[in-house]
Formats: sequence, structure tokens, C-alpha cells
Amino acid sequence: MKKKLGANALQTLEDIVALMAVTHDPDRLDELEDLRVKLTRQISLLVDQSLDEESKAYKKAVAGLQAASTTIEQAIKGLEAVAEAINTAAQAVELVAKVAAMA
Amino acid sequence: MLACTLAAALLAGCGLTVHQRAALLDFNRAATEFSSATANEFQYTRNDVIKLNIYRDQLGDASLDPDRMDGNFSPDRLKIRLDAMAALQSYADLLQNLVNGSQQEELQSASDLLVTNLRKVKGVSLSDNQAGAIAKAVASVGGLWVEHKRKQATCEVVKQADAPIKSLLAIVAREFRLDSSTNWVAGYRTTAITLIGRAAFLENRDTNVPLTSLANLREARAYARTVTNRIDIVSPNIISAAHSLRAAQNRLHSALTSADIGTADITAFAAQVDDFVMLYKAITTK
Repeated sequence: MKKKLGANALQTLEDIVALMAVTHDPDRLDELEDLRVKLTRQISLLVDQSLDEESKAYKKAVAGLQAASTTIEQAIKGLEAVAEAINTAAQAVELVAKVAAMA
Repeated sequence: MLACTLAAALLAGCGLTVHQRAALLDFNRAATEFSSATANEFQYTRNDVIKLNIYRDQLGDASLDPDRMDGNFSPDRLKIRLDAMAALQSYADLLQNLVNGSQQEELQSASDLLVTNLRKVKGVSLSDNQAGAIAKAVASVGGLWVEHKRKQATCEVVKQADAPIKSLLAIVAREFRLDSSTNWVAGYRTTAITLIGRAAFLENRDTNVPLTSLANLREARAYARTVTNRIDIVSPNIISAAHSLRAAQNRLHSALTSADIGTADITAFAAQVDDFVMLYKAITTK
């Protein structure tokens, strides 16, 4: 019900404003102005609620993306580890060379 | 040597294909541009709302809450949206590093060091040709292993990010729908439309309004109309770009899990996002 009400509210505000642009009768203008003020406040409340709901949804999606990003960082470290492994082997061989030279 | 040859044979063809790499880079370029343009739009709309509300304040609008000159767009709400776009961009950057990053030079220098140290071992004698062959074999097996692991990681990550990316794009699309009265863009349009209404009231209600005030309210109304005209063009394009990026994510997921699925679609969807960004920059430059 709230969604249906909200869906029409902005269109109603546009209709009221369009009517105000062509109305010159002071009493009628005051009525329209009163409606504009009330409706603007009402829409603002609905938007507040909706934005907070969407904020929660954003946070959930961001948490999922951050988990994927962490996986990528770990994978990149894993790839770098291959060169590190060869370097470690090279250091081990150098140690063997030193020991062999002392013998 | 035999082990190297065997490993090379086993791992050959296990890396990402040229087309898969290109598709990933296209996707990531599009994701980066989309997140940047959308983040800009969130910030832009908030700045505009403050400006519109200053006009409303000057025109004595009773519907304005003077303690909330940024209307529905509080710093906290804006930050959540900018953080979401930053997370999308960060994901895109990291994925690009994973796909593009090359360990080839590091592998070659590590292999060279291994051979140099091997030559120092007493009793080991290697000709230049033999040394070169060993270094090359070690580096190439390392390279194949890296490519194999790169593909595995990329597939896993794209799969893991599939749901959050689609969810995030769906929220952005919802926030920019013009047929809603409760989303982000409704908060923006309401501010502009109600300002037009206040200006119309003052102009038509008091026929003795001073000329200076008349000029101010006409300026306010003109600005509010610029705002609604601009967002009416931008909103459908943001939604369209979000849909294109979602479609590209779908194809990317399929392209990485099956070699039979082409990657041309991803490039086409990424191009649609590029078109949006070009249009957006053209109509949003102040």
C-alpha cells in the first residue's frame, strides 16, 4: 500500500505544480500551496525510508565484493610466490656451493 | 629436465585465452567507468539539492526543513553509495591486476640466479647452452604454473563476485528509476519540482511582488527546470549502463567456464557502457 501511494505521489506533486502555474485565484492558489507543502513533506519521509532500505542492500553487496577482492589479493600473492620459490631454491643451491667449497 | 617437460605438457593450454583476457579487460574498463560516472552522479545530485534548497529558503518555502539543506541526501547516505562504487572500482582494479600482472621477468631473473648458483657447486659443469636451456625450462614451467593458477583464481573470483555485482547494479538501477516516488532520483526531482511550485505560487499570488524578487524566483525556477531536464536524460542512461554491465558480467561468467562461449558480447556490452559515460560527461559538464 505504501509503495502504491509513493508511486503516485510525485506525479500528483507535478500535477499540483502544473496547476499552480496557471492559477491566479488567491484562494485556490493558497489551497494548492497547502497541498504542495504537505505532499512534499510526505514524499520526503517516504524517500528517507526507501534510501535507508537501499543503504542496507548496498552494504550487503559491498561485503560480497570485498570478499571477492580479498580472494584476488590472496591469488596475486600466490602467483608471486612461484618466483619466490625459485629464488629460495637458488639460495639453497648457493648454500650447497659454499659448503662444497669448504670441503 | 624430464619433470619440467612433463609439467609443461600437463599445464600447456591451462591459462586464460587471448579472447578471455581481452573480455576481462573490457569488462573491467566498463566497470571502472560505470562506477566513476555513477559515483559522480550521486555527488552531483546532492550538490544540486543543496543549491535548490538555498533557493527554496530564499523564497520562504514552508516545506523546507532548514536543518536539512541536503534534503534526503545526508552525508551518511551519500557515503554508503560512494563506498559501493569504490568497492566496484577496487574489484575491477584488482581483477585487472590479476589478469594483467606478469611475473615473467621475476621468474626469468629467479631462474638465472638458480643457474648461476648451480654453476658454483663443486663438480657441476654446465655449458652456456645447457645453462640457458635449464633457465628457460625453469622459467617456462613457472610461467605455465602461474598462468594455470591465474585462470583458476580468475574463474573463482568472477563466480564469487557474480551475485554481489548483480545485486549492486540492481540497486543502482532502482535508485535511478523515474517511475518511483521514493528512490534517490525521486528525492532529487521532488526538490526541483516543489521549488517550481513555490516560484509559481509567489509569482501568481502576489501581483505586487518587487522586480528584484521576481528575477530571483524566475532564476530559481529556470535552475529547477534545468535540473529536471538533465536528470530525465541521465537516469535512463545510468539504468541502461547498469543493465549492460550486468549482461557483461553474465557473459564473463560463462566465457570463463566454457571455451565454447564467445567473448564478443562482453566487448559489445562494455562499449555500451563507454557510450553512456561519453554522453554523461557531455551533459553533466557545468
